[in-house]
Amino acid sequence: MFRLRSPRDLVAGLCALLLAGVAFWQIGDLRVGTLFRMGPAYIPLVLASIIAVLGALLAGSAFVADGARLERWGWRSIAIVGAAILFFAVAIESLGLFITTAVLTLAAAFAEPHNKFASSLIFALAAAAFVVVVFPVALRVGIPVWPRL
Amino acid sequence: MSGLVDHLWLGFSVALTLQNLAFCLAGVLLGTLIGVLPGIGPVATVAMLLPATFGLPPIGALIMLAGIYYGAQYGGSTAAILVNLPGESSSVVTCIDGYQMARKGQAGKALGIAAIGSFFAGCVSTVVIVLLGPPLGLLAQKFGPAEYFSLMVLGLICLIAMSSGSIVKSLIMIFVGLLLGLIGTDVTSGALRMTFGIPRLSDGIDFVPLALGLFGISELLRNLEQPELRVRGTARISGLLPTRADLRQAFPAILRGTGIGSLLGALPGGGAVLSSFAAYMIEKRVAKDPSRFGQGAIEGVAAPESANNAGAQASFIPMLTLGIPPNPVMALMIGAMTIQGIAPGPQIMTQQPKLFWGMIASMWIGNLMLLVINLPLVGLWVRLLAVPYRVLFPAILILCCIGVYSVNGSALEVAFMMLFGVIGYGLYKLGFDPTPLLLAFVLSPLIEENLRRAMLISHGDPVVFVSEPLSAGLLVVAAVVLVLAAMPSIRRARDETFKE
Repeated sequence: MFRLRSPRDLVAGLCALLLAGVAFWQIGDLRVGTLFRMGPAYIPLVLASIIAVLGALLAGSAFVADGARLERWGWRSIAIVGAAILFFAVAIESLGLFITTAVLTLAAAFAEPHNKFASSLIFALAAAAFVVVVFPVALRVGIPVWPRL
Repeated sequence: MSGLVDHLWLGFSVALTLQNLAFCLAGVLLGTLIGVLPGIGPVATVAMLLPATFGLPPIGALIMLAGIYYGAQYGGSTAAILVNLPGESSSVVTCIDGYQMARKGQAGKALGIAAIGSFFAGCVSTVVIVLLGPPLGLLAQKFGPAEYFSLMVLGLICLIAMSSGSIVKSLIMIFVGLLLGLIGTDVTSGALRMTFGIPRLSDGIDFVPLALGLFGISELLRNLEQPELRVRGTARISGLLPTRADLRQAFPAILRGTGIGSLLGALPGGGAVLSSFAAYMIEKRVAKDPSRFGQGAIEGVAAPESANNAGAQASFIPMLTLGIPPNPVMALMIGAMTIQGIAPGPQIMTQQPKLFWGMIASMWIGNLMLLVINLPLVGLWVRLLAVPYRVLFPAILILCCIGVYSVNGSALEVAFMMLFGVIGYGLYKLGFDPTPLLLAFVLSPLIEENLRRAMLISHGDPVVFVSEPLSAGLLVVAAVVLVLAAMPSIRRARDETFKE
């Protein structure tokens, strides 16, 4: 019987197969063309097919060669970082750089239990002021600074 | 020979203007500042600071980015020697003997020899670039689409040979990178490809969110997972200048390190990391008494530090002359050029001689600045090492977000960065190295364009790739490299180099 020897490679191979599947679906019915006059779908199709073959190879090898086990994922940090970045994405255009930075820094400070509110607030305001001075003012990076009213 | 002098003269006349000196200094300082912070490597440093250069003139922007790159490397070595925390993978080996020297009270000497070795390597590899650049560039200008395609295939194959881990996984990363690079509007037909119906994707995935996600955010996620590395009392630093006896002992190691770095750095996938590992291995082999290594041997600091700086510099050669990035930092440089409106490729040298030679001259100046400025500032860098990660983490996050947002003013791309960050984290967990993906992504549109053009010219006859001698030669080399990389004995030796 087949015995699974490398769960990590099996998952890795399946992920590659999944990605190839998504690519095939997205390529859809674009024109393929010939080797002489390649259509828009020609090379993507070739690439997706190769990824599928390699993914199948990798998944298959998981039953032949010994390999690593799956590692645990740190969902907590993904959730925290994800929420922070999405907040930035949503807030930057309406609230502006100053408030967004201050709120993010403050929220990160709260993740740590020992921090006092007053010092965290001062730190957050200082960080926000610093970012505003460096990027939009000194380096002239085009970012809204204040809330749009 | 007089041509070379003229070129260097032109370069220095550009690099020595007050404005460009200031950009170089700012880059070196900023790079060291961020590079010395625990858990931030040069790729993330350059990616985070990339938007800071958008408003600058093209030459100034590239000079500053190059300075950031060396600075970040130097900062990483400082952290490695003083607190045994490699800020980046190219200074992992420096930790071994550097930290032992620091524990013996020779931290100053270790930092000094690292700086001197790096500076020497920087000088030599600047000369190498000056000598190799023009002939390579001229050769590349003769390339037609078939040759270009074969050259890029060779580059990608070298990447597999140099990266760690399984060949199948590296290949998957390359093909995924190529596929991601094709997302967006097809230049020839105008058809939208693989855009998931998202209008923003009709221009393709932007490089900055991809790079910052894969290298910045995913690194952040991995760091958050580990228990916080607390830096307690760092070694006291006294006597930065090595004695004459130290120099005599370290000099051959510096020479060998420089040679290895200049050689490996120019190869795709080589660069600073492999150079420093290989240099350390070789020092151990040639040493009369290998047991000293790991106990604070000065050669064990001098060789890898010279090698990683030489490697970092040499990696500019394929980027500047061929438009092919050998490592992720060079991919970022190409991204920066594109944003500045400069098409990367062999034409840079002839069409933008000021930019080309100015950058090369500024590399040498940047190295000199590192030597002169950073040694006195060591005390400041040490204090930065003690910054706890909970303070750094929101700062890095905000820098990454601002970086992505400032490219196109698109909030959606900030969300993309998050997505790529999680993907990068997942790739790490599944044993994939994202470096080939990023490089393939950068090369993908070029590869497709040249492949299509070659096929049009030859009326769909793929024999053109082997009937043109130059193209055939490149493909033969690629095949040899692939076979060598797959040979069990060579794989084992290489894996040992990485494991050490």
